Amino acid sequence: MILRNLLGRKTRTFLTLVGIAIGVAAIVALVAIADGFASGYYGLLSGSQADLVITQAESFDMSVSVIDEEVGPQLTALSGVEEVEGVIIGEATTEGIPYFMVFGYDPKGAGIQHFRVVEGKELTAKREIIIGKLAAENLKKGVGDTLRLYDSAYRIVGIYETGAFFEEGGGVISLADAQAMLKRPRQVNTYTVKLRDVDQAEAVRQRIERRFPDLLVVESANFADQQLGLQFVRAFAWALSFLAVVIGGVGMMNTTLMSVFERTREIGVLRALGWRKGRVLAMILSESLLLSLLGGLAGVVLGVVAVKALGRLPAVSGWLQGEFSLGLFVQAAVVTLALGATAGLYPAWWASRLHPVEALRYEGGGGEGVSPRLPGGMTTRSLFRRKTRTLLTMVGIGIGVATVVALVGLTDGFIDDFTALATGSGTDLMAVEANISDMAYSAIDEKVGKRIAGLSGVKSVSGTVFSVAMSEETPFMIVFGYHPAEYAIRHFKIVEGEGLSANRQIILGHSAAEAMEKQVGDKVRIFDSSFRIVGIYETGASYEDSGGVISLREAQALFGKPRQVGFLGIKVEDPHRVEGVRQRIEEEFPEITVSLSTEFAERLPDLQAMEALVGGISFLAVIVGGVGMMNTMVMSVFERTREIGVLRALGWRRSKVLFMVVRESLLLGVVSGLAGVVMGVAMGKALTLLPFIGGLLKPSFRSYTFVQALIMALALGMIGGLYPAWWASRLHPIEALRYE
Amino acid sequence: MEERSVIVETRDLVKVYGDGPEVRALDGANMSVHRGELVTVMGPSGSGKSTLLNMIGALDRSTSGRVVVKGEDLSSIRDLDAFRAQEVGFVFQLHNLIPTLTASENVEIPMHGQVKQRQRRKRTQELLDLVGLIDRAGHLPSQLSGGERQRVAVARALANQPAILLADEPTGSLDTTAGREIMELLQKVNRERGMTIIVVTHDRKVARMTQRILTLEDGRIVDDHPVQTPLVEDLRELARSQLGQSLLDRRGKILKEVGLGSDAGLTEQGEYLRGLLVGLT
Repeated sequence: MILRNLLGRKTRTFLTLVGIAIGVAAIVALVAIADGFASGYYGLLSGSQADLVITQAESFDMSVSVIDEEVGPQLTALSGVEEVEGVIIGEATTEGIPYFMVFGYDPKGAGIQHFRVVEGKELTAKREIIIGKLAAENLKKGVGDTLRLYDSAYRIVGIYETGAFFEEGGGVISLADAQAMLKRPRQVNTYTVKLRDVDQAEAVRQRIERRFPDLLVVESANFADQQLGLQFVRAFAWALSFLAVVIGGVGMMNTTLMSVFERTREIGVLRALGWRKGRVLAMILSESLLLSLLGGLAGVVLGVVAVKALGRLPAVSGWLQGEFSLGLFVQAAVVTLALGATAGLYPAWWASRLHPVEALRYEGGGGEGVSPRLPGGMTTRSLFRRKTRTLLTMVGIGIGVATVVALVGLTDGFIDDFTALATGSGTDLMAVEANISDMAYSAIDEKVGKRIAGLSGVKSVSGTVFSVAMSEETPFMIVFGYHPAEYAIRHFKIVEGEGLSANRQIILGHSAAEAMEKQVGDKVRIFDSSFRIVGIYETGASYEDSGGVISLREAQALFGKPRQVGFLGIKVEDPHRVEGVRQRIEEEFPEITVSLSTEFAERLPDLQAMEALVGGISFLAVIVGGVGMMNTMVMSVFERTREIGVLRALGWRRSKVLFMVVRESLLLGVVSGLAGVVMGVAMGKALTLLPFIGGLLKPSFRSYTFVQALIMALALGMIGGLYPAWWASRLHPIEALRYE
Repeated sequence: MEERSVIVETRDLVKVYGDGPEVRALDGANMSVHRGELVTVMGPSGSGKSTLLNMIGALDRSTSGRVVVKGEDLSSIRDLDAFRAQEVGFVFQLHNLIPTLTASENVEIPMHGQVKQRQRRKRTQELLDLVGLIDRAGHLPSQLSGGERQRVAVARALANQPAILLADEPTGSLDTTAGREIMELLQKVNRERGMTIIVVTHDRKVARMTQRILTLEDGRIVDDHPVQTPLVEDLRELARSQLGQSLLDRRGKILKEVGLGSDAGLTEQGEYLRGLLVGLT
């Protein structure tokens, strides 16, 4: 009976299955990717057979961790330590691969041993590189070819395997080359430590941390768990899948509800024949569970296929490989069943409470509850006829649209903020290192700044570095380094206290001061150094207002970027000739990218990643939303088959019926879209209320975002309405009139 | 009967349904209806009544044979939608009003794309006045009684001043009183507007409220006669019934028995029976 009920409405059941499947597929795919990412991390250092891994404390991610090479010998000297090796891990952009992982190892060290060369020879000299098997496939290169990383060419001498795809998707160069290329002279990202006695691990760990409070020591088995970046990836994957599941769940509830409403009379018969309430409840719950189970299975398959397909794209396969664990499938199963139970519970309860006599009398969705005063005639009233369904559809689509609106708002806020940051300091041009995949990696030699300052047409140049500081006091705070005497620092308008004048001083943005409950005269710890707050400033850019400024020299030392800056702000003599100056600088210094301050934010590589992300989420939302919409419209049209027959008998043309359904669908889309816009704005605003992170998020909603959202909603309406409309218009009037 | 032009005519009309075992719903039906007539098509269920009505109403095309409405062969009309909208008015067994639209909006449906808005309003008012529901114009179908809904359906069928009005079991879902009222309404429409109306029913009482009865059996018209006095119609009905048949079969025997009777009362009953038997034949 359960199966037959589901088969009785094939289209609707199918659409619901698709809706659930996409939701579950999103979970499976995203979590698998996150897990794969994690296992990539684990694999990174486990092969080296190190017992402990050391990174800079409070660094967001291993790739931004900085440890001075002087630490190495001191570590080796500690008791219980057998061997210590410094490793560089970084990313480079190369030939179609935006994130190519580059490892710097000592060619004679122990760590490099785990890169088993399967073709060619081992790494011995400078300017040589060995690349992973996966990288060789993606790059379509072999031994003897050359590979360009940043502005240097490396000769491929070997191809290796390690079993860890992060490593097999990247390449290994000598530590010295890596330090030069990634501008980390005399620094490493991480130290791996081999112990004399593994049982002593905890004792040695504590010993190192006591001796070097700015280092984080982790046993290599737990290493990945300690990486904040990884936790971000995981949280994000969960948030996205949650979204997909909510939208899928809403669609499912809709289907179950409709299938129950439609069978009201049947349920009345069952009750009249002596079925107990519990039995009706069980029947409808089982239907819903079966539906979710099937959808879940399809979703798992879809998710696995999607991840496998993504893993084959050369651009991402180096760091994106899904990992499917038993736990993941259990998770998917639990989510699916929970979804089925939740979605089935209300309709089941409703059905079980039906009075048999009333149920038998039920006419099947008449015009009850529709007010004749509603404007808009048939279109609006049809939607009002099934308030629950319309509402659920609106919620489903609204959530999708809202997410897109909120994300676009945040992205635009980010652009605004960075534009304000770039233009606020009064500079005309901004320069970052060329070919970086993330602005956090940008490193420009100070000498470049000096030489640019010497060019004709350039008035002044000011460099800055920044980094994200993380500690218990400040979970996420951007610290800027500015030269206290250069003009750029002047845009930090001091509203309390005074500006920077000496070392070990910091000025705090007013949002940061508020969040941390600090005042002028208090102290803050950043990267394990103590700073005295001498002033509070305001700039209007939320990244600055929720951060802090220290002197450039101290920042460079702290962030491990001696004599380097992240950005250069350039002021020109004649603002009308700024483009000419920009081109001249780029020609002369190919290692940097120069943008107009007003365009700077939009050209940041981070922003492109963010936009790709928003695009991905929008795509997911459109697909899931479109399926939900189609489901609703299919149901709405099916139940009105006879009415459509009447209209046709009365001489309405096919096209008129078609337009009627499309119009309804579009209206539903627009109404849901509007609801989504409101929800999205509310979501964006709500995020800003979060402590610390909230200060950095400043959504900016532009009219085109709303236009985009409405276009998206209309597109959903169109996608959802076309098939049912076509179906309705093709109905033969006689058959439609006979339809029960 | 005065001379009137033929408005609906079917010739050797055949309609076959089904891909598997074929069903001959109509098997050479011949009939004609004159302008301004109110006729009934009767017959047991499955005799092809509704199919015939669907053919005349241009809802479906015939397998063979001709349907001529207002001098036009339906098979030569390409745009049946427009034809239905302009020339045919339908009343169904279930009122089939759109539940989300008010009475007046339901009446307006067929006029969309045919009549200008201002005229639509005016005509809707007129029609609701005709069916006696002017004060219910803003009500939804769910707020109307069964009889009232069917009246709205009649008004809707008349919206585009069609050439013919087709009613498929118009009283089928109504009680006796409401059913009679609907038939009275159809009579009034026929009388006052000269509307040609074809009613399909299996209810003799309904049929007698029309002017002519066509009887359909197994897809053919087997009987066609004008409606006469109630007594004559009763006799016709009796004659077609099993009891009547058996009475007729034993006519000689019965007459003899009645004639030989000596009881006065029996003789009086006998006289009545004799009259009946004469009437039956």
